[in-house]
Formats: sequence, C-alpha cells, structure tokens
Amino acid sequence: MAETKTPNDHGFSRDLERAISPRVRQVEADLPVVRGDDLATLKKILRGEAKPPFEVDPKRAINALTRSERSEDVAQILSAVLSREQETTKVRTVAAHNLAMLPPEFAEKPLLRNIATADGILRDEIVTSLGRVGTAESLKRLEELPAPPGEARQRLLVLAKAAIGVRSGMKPPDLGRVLGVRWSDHRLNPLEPGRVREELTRLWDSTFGIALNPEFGFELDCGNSKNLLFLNAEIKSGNFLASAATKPLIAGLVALREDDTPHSTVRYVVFTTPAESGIEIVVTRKNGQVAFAGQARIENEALRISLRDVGQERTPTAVEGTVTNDRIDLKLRVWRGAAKSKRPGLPVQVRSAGAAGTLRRGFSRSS
Amino acid sequence: MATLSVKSIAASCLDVDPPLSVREDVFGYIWGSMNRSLSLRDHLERISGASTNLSIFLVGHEPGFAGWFTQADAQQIQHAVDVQRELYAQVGLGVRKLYWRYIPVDEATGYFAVDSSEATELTEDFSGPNDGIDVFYVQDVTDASGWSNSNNGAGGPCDKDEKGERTGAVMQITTPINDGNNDFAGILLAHEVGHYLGLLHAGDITNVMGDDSDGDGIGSIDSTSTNLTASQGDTMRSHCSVHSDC
Repeated sequence: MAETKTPNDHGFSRDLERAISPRVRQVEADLPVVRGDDLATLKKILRGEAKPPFEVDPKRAINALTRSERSEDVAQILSAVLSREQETTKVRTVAAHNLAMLPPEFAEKPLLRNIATADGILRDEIVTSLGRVGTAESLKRLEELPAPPGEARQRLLVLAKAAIGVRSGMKPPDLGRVLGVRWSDHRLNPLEPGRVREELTRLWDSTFGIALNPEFGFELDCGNSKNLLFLNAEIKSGNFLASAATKPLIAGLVALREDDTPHSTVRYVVFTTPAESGIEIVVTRKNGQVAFAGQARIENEALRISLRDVGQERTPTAVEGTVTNDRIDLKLRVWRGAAKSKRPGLPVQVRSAGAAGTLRRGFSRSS
Repeated sequence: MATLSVKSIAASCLDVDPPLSVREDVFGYIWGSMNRSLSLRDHLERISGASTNLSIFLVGHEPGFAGWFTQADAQQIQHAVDVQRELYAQVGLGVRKLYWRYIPVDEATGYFAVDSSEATELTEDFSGPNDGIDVFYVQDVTDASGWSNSNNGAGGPCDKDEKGERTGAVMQITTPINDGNNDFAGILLAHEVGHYLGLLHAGDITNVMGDDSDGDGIGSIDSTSTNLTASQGDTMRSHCSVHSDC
C-alpha cells in the first residue's frame, strides 16, 4: 500500500488512522504496520497519553502495535493493558494473546503477574500464551493451577505445560500420555484354509466379479463383530508380489460379520494399481466413498503397506503391513481417543413472551 | 403489486406456522430491538424471491450471555444481517432463513482470537444445515477482519460435508463506533458472504466487494462500501447455495 502520510486536521497521520480505526479496514488480511512517528503516537494512544480525534478500535490498535515492533517497550504497554482491570475482557485477552508474539524475556512476567485472574476467559488466553513463551518458572506456576473445568480448557493447560516442559528440558513429558495420544494395535490374524472356505460360504454379497482365494484370508476380531479380508484368487501364495504388482486389481474385499448374524457382507473394496515405486491402494465403501488410501512400497524384496483412513470413518485408523512372496502380515492401528465428527453446534429455539423489542434471553437448547 | 401474505410466505418460505412473532419467526431477529426500521412488506418481497440462508454461529457463547458474547455483540450480528439484507436487495437477492447456533465456550476454547488457519479449522469442525451458508463469529481475527472462500470466483461449496475446503465465512465482532452505528459490521458480512457466493474484489471502494486496486488479493472496505452491480447480482444469484422463489 502506498504511503499516505498526510496528517489529519489534528496532526495524526491518515496511515495511523487507517491502521487502528474501527471505521475502515482491510478485509481478508488486516495486517497494518506503523512506523516512525506513527508508532510513537500509537504507543502514546495505548498508554493513554494521547487522544486522537478519530475513534480507535483497541483490538486493532494492539494487533497493529505488536505487528510493528516486538520490543520491551511494547511488552510494557501490553502488560499495562492486560493488567488494567477496568478494561474489557476482550481487550485484555487480545493483549494477552499478543504478548505471546514478543520475545519471552519481555512477555513472560506480565503474563505471570495476571495468571491468578478470576476471569476465566482471560486466564485461558494467558495459559495459552505462557505455553508459547513461558519458561520453567511458568511451568511451576501452571503446575500449581487447579484443573480448569471442561475438556477443552484442560487440553489448553496440558498443551501449555507440555510445550514448556519440552522447551525448558525441565520435565520432558510423556507427550503421548499427557496429550491423550492413544493407539491400539491389532494384528489381522491369518485364517486357516478351512476357515477361509467356511467364511466364504457365509459371504452373502456380490464379490464384485472376482473369484476369491479359498486358501488365504484374514480376520480382525472387533469384539461383537469381525472384519474379514478376502483376497483375489489371482493373488497366490509364493507369488504375492508379482501377482499384486503387475496390473490393476480388485485385490480383495473386506467383509463385516456381526457375531449375532450367520452371514457377512462386503464393507470395503480394495483396489490396487501398480505404480513406479510399488502399488497404490484405494479402499472404498460400496457406495464409492473412499475410506482408506495409501501405498505399498517395494523395500528389500517386500512390499511395505501403509494406509490411512481418508473418509468418513469416525475413528482414525491406519493399516500397516508387509508382503513378501509367501507371507502377508497386516496390522491395524486404531485411535483410542475421541472419535471425530462434524459437529452441528447447538440450535436455538427462541420464543419471546413479550412484544418485539423486549430484552432477549440467551440461547436455549432445543428439545 | 400482489398482496403478500405473512402466513403463506412464512409457511412456504420459512417453514413456520402461526402463531408467529414477525420479528423472530419472519425476520429471524431474536436478539431484541435495534436501531433499524424494518419494513415487513420489503422483507417478504425479498425472501420470497431468490434467496440464501445463513447458519450463524456464535463461537464461545453461553446462555444468558455467560460466555464470550455480550448482548450488544449479538445485536451487532443481527444488525449486520439486516444491513446485509438491504445491500443484497439492490440486486434482488434475499437472505431468507437465519439458523442461529452457538458453540459453547468449552468447545470453543482456543478460538477466542483466531488466525486464518484456525478459521479453517472452525469450518472443518462445525457446520450448520446444508441449505445455509455458515457464518462464524469470533471475538478477534488477528490477521484479518474476516475470511471466506471465494475459490477464484467459483464461490464456496454447497455441500459443506466436502472436505479440504473452508466451508463458511469466519469474521470477527467489530468494535462498534461511538455513535452506535453497526452498519460497518453489515458491510463486512455482506462482503464475506459475497465471496462465498462467487464475488471477487471490485476496484471500487464504494462497492461492497471493496477496493483491491493493487491486485494483491487484499480488499479494503469502509463505511461507503455499499454498492453492488447488476453483474455481481447475477453472479450471486447463480451460486448453487441460492434458493429459488418460494
């Protein structure tokens, strides 16, 4: 943007006004930076030492200041805003957020001075910022905080402590444990030929036009159900690699059988396509939705299989395995944390009792 | 001019039946009065023609305004919608249904002040009904005023279950100016939803889609950015999320 240093009638530049006014702004990337006299004036405004003739959006002003200079001076201004109890939570929270953009030696102490605030919104942001710039001293203070209510707030605190712990080397955390990273590994068990043939007789579905190998199959026991992997009959023992890597195939079908039913039906169709360094693998639902995708790479006379869920499956799942000419080993890694879903938010059901224009209540959950 | 029946339009366009609160059920304004004069006739005409719906999320709200939003914030959004309706009316596009939603503080924690990547996360994690454009209001966007998906003029997706796209607009509660005029918030809303409906930046600060005369992809708008052209109206009305007459 061209420099437009023309001052307004009161000596404040138009550039500064554009950077901090609530009346005009850039939309998709609002990143104004102020320099020189404008920066000095902006500091005075935020210190309360100067009052411009135009309105100031304090959130924009704080963002612009931090963007313009990352100094101790700026930290002191943000610290003052953060500590100003008569200031709104929103503005104080933006100050706490911006402190994390400054060098830790300037930012940490102001944040720590306010960590005991009773304002939960502000405290969450201070915890977040300390996670980004805090040292061992912050870790100690965060360890003393009681667990906040709610999973999301607890997660913020855990992340902050984990980040500081790693950075400071004071307390290297078990990240998997504290952040709740939990996978469970499940081996796909090879089926004896007799079981394969038995399960094939129970398969009550189209086989998508392929003959299934009656000698090789795999089972994943999921408690009340079983996932059964049947291979294309063209994939034969002693020749697994060549048979899978020479042409596109429907390489197999995954069938699901609930324990309380005598039959299974196809859940997934496994497509393989030879590629330069191995095989591309796509696993679809019967409706065509891609459920898993990945590759099998050739390494030392073996195919290393790596698939990830890419579709609507609510539980993140990975498939890993190795295929040699006469052996197939497959393992499922299943996420043990919360299942993913797209959340709709909470709908509003409002019916006012009085005339239009009466004071509103907050949202209420619909029944 | 044909007689417009509130009951029939409410039933056929808004899926609501008597007893009706005109303000809440027909306009969708649930947050109290505002400094705008409302014309029921104009509104019925607008929403019975080509229209879009909005799913408006208050990110970090709690009943009784016990969360991050104040009543003034909620009224600002409502005011913004009314301004947006007036701006879009210039080109024959209505804003029909408002699905008011909220994300409780506990689920919104970490999204008080968001940047562009967090804005995308919000739209990946949450979505309203597929017949409305999602609009997420947050307290502060640190690197913009708002984000939306213009897809180089193709507009945002209609199937919000599609992955890998920002399926909605994300914008911040703007700081009200001293005379209490929240019209600028409406211009911002109209601008971002305009992107979703396929509009690119205009080279004119008086246009809702603002000025991007240096071509860097960053638009500027101000309180004069209130015009839309007939061509822009054609583009918006042809977007797949716009519903036909009802």
